[in-house]
Amino acid sequence: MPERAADVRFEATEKSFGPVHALHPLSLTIEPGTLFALLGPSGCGKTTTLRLVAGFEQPSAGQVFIAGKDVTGLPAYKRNFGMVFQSFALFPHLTVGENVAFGLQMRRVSRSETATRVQRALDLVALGRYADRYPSELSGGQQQRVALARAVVFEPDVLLLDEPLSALDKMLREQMQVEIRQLQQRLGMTTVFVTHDQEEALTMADRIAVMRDGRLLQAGAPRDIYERPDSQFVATFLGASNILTATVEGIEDGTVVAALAGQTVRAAAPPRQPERGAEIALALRPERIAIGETGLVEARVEDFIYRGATVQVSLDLAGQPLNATLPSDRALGLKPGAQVRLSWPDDALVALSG
Amino acid sequence: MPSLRLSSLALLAPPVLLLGVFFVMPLCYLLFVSFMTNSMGDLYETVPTLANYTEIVSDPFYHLIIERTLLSTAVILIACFLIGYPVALYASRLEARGRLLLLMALMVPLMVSNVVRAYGWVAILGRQGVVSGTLNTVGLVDRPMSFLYDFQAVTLGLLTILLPFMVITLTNSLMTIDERYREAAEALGAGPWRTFLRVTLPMSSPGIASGLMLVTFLTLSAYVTVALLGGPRYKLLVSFVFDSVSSFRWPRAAALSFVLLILALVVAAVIQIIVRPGRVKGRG
Ligand SMILES: Nc1ncnc2c1ncn2[C@@H]1O[C@H](COP(=O)(O)OP(=O)(O)OP(=O)(O)O)[C@@H](O)[C@H]1O
Ligand SMILES: [Mg+2]
Repeated sequence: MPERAADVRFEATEKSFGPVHALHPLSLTIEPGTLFALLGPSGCGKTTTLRLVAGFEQPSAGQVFIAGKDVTGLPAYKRNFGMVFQSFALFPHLTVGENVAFGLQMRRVSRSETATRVQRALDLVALGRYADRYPSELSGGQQQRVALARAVVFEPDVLLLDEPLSALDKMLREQMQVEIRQLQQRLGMTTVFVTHDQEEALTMADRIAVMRDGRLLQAGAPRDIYERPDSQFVATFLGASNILTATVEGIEDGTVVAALAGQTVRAAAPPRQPERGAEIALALRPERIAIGETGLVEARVEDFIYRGATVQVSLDLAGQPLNATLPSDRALGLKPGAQVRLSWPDDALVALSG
Repeated sequence: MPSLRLSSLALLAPPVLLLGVFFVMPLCYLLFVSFMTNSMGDLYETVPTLANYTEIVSDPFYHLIIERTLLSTAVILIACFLIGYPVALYASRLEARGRLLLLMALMVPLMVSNVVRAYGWVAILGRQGVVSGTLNTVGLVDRPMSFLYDFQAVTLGLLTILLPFMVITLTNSLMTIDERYREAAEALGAGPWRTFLRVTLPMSSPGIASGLMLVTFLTLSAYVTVALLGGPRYKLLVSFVFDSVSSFRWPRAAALSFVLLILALVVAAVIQIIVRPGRVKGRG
């Protein structure tokens, strides 16, 4: 299948259901060929956003563009997208082959070409020999693959996935994450997928948009979002994070200088610059903290939780609780009540704006 | 697991027993009687004969009646489907309260006895009836006319009774089809019409088949409506079962009943072949 990539663009797109503001005005561009994750807790408007791209919902205001074309108001069947539903929604009265052929038949592709393309799509998801089975005769993972084949066989402009893996068990889910990612890379198709699982988003996506209460909080590459969250919500929603309170002492080219537990520390500055003397929240990932004889600040060991490969150490930093995750062998000499010193790399501390 | 099998047997026993005593045994007895000789004094004379069946098979009059019965059944089935499906489709997309109201409204007429309802039609279609009166007043005809005792009267009468059964069965079936399937079809490029033809219609085939079978059995066994609206001029097979019974020819009546049963089974088979409800294999 040839590469085909289109961009998806929201321009001040919003959606209300009566009094419920499911999506506040959203302006966002999804670049061609990216695997884009919409991430957020339940009810934050992820599905609504996806359904606006599909055309199953029409925006209350604003526009949606696919491949540069304004598709606002266009019904779903006239937009060229593939979609995988959470429940797969394979047609139970059609065989696997007929399910995959459906989109091609709707596009009036000739019979012989339909046959070859269906076969190719099924081969792509390693189900080449299942064309004559009915969906009910397949396992969950196989149904999932058929749903994928059905969605990509007609080379849509965009591929939309709404929690495509939530119906599968953990093992299969992790395997499918890799498979979907590989398939997406091979086809180079712009893909938007919805998930409330931060690990899934980090594993699969080129870019992540974190949403909350119908608003886009932060969008960017997984590493950027993970390492440079700009709000407390994003910091704690994506993996564990310590939130510490400090007082701003000054700003020096992109760095906040702040007083934390009586020491001066440096943190990456948030987009909105804080004022001198103000209280500020700092995010610090537990796995970036090192415990030793020397270090920046002093803390007291409170407790341990043994997790096999790692140990989680609860600490008290001048009255502020703090967790550190250490490799098991590094935590051997620690005892509750011990005074230790903590250190972290320069870029580990991130100042938050909200 | 033997204990499981035992308990499921125990669960099955009462209905099987009930079916055996009140259905299979009488049916066997009926079959037996149908091969006996008619008798004026007794229920039957214990002289085995095929006469009851050969008479039906060789008599062109019965051929006409069977044809007529099949034709009215076919017309009722087609009309029930064509009228019932859109109504059911509409009902299935209403919100719960509206749907309840609509289905209730459809069922209200069923609360009136078939006899009363049939007389209602007599009052509308008879010589002194509403239709005749109106046509007279308007001047389209110059003397009272009856619209009773023909194919149209019987079919119309039956149709109004049976339509609600069709609509209710179909509505239930359509409601089990998740909206996701329609959206999936749309996502694949199918407009509303093709979504209906390729997804909604075939996925409702189990409901269509059950509805049509229900209507078939009710049509073939409906007696009162046929007797009152068909009168002496337009009789269906069921009328002759009754006539034979009232002239004490029980074996003949039994044989006719079996012919009716076979007709019902044939129509049911044809429905299965055309509608193919078996193609919906679980939920994908
Ligand atoms: N058809 C609808 N009618 C009314 N309200 C709706 C409708 N669809 C969604 N909502 C509301 O809009 C908000 C966002 O819903 P949405 O389904 O987009 O959330 P989500 O992020 O997909 O959540 P989840 O992870 O639980 O699927 C919710 O408050 C929901 O109740
Ligand atoms: Mg959702």
